[in-house]
Amino acid sequence: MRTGALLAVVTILALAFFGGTMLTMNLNTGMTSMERRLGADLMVVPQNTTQKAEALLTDGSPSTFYFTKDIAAKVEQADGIEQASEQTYIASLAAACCAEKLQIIGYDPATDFVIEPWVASQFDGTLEDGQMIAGANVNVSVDGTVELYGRTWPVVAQLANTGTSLDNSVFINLDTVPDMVDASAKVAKRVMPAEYADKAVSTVLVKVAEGYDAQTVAMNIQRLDPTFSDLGYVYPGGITATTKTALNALVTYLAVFVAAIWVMGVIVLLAVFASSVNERKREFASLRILGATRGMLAGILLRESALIGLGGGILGVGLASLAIFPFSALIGRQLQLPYLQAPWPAVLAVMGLAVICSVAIGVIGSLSVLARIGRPEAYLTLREGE
Amino acid sequence: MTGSIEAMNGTVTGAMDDDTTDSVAGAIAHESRTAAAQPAPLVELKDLTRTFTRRGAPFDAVSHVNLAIMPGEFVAIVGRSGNGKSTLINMVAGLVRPTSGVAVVDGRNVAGLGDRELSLLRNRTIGFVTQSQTLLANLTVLDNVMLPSTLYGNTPSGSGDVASEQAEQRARTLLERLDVADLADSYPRELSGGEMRRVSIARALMNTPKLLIADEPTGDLDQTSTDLVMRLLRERADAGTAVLMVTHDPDALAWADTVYRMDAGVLSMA
Repeated sequence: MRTGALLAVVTILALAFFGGTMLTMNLNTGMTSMERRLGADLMVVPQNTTQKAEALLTDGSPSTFYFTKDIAAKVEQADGIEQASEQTYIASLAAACCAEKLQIIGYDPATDFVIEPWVASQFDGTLEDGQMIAGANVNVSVDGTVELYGRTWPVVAQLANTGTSLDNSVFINLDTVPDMVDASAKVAKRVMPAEYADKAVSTVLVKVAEGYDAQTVAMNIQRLDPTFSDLGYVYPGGITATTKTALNALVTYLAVFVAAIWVMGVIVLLAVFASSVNERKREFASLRILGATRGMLAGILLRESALIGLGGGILGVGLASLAIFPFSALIGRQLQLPYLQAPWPAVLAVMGLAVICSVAIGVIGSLSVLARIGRPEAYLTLREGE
Repeated sequence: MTGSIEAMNGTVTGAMDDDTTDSVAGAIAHESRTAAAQPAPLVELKDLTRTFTRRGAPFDAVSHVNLAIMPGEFVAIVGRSGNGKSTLINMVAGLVRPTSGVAVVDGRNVAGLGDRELSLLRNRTIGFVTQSQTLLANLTVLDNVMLPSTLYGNTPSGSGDVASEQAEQRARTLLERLDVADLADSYPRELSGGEMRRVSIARALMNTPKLLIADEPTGDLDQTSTDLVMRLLRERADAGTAVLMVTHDPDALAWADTVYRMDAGVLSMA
């Protein structure tokens, strides 16, 4: 009964610690991954689409927005730009390939500096017209194709998980965008007017030259044309200020929650251990009479409490793992934040730490009992149980 | 616990006079050297006192007790409850420290021993039958009886499997002598009060102690069992074990060589 109660408390502590830490770590991994994927210092997007652009990069719904190529070309003239590349975003309807709506991203392999470095590890060819690179969550058929708008598109590579909405994206080159728009018109609502199909640009991704910062370059762009001050400017380096704030808030809540559970748990543990002394006074008194040293009694207690800690720790980590690992995708969707499974060495380290902390808390819990046993004439205290 | 004993291990401080301790110990050593022909007492209590505080007022639970028990001597102490009998035997076993005076067991000043030496003395030299039931609930009767022989590895007489087998054999023999051999594989919760008492006695005798301390050993026993236990204690005494028994039982007194009375902490001949 006593052992069961102690085991349950330690299990809850380990579960909270491991679960909380894993959630925090996965969110941070997602964030880092997102930041790494966004190699641009500045994104110039159409008027009033800043939030949509941010959402697209974090974990929001797919969307379609664009301005025209001539604006893009003009933007690229601004002072302080080292590299600029255009991308076009189209939100598909629910497609056969995917559980959710798909984000189609058209990019220019000739100027791109964002997608290709990331793709390079899995695909080192050139993305030809009509070909696709699929995000991690896209269901690619066994024959290496995706069916979209009634057409079959060959997939040349599938990317690793990023924990962002990019996982629900397919990448095509800009020249394929008009084909995609045509295809959409044949089977569903046309995703954009035909006349814009070959000149729509959703964003100009900018890498700033050395010595410039993204804000200065944004100012330079706005100086080019008075109407450019209406454009949206997204700073992926400090991106997603909103995402980061939300993430930080969530991490803080998690930390407070885990800390509160631990404080309560430690109090309960101490109480249970303290009450267990009364239960075991007679046992300890017997052992003392038979010639057990204080060290032997301490050894018995420490071994028991460490075993309870170890058992509870493993149980807690196991239970948390059952929730966290199989339902990783669901958790990511529910949180609406970049959520990516941390690398296994880190996960194993946290598992180890959770178990070590559980053992430590078990041992610490038994210290009050040890102190009572260690007192001179502890026998008098112990034989109160007689 | 109140009282003036502060030391965890070793030297007794406070109310006890160090000079007195030294002189008593010295005197005992001197006596053992000079009286070579006579065996030294196994237990020697000199001016042994233990003071407790009750409602702010100090009182002597044991007051200036002097007593010597020779090997093979069977001593019984009678007296009403609360008159210091248990405190006295607890001081002899080193479970309670004296406020003043000295308890010497097998040539060693009990209060001057460190925790390990004292624990070893309790394990190897002293067998203790407590007033209350102190069998470990999660061990079988046989394991309970063998427990003293396993605390410090195996008994001094041997080690390894052979010693373990010898210990088991000895435990079974003791259980048989006390007529509880058929309960060897039972757990304490399955035993009656009298059976538990007899198992406790077997456990106390497991390491063949030089001194057997028994606190009300016949408390829960019927006449037949009382006779059984007392006959065994008498045999142990006849074989050279010093026996110190505290009892209320008039039937048990007849088996003792010497009977003392304890009244308000003061020991006198009955």
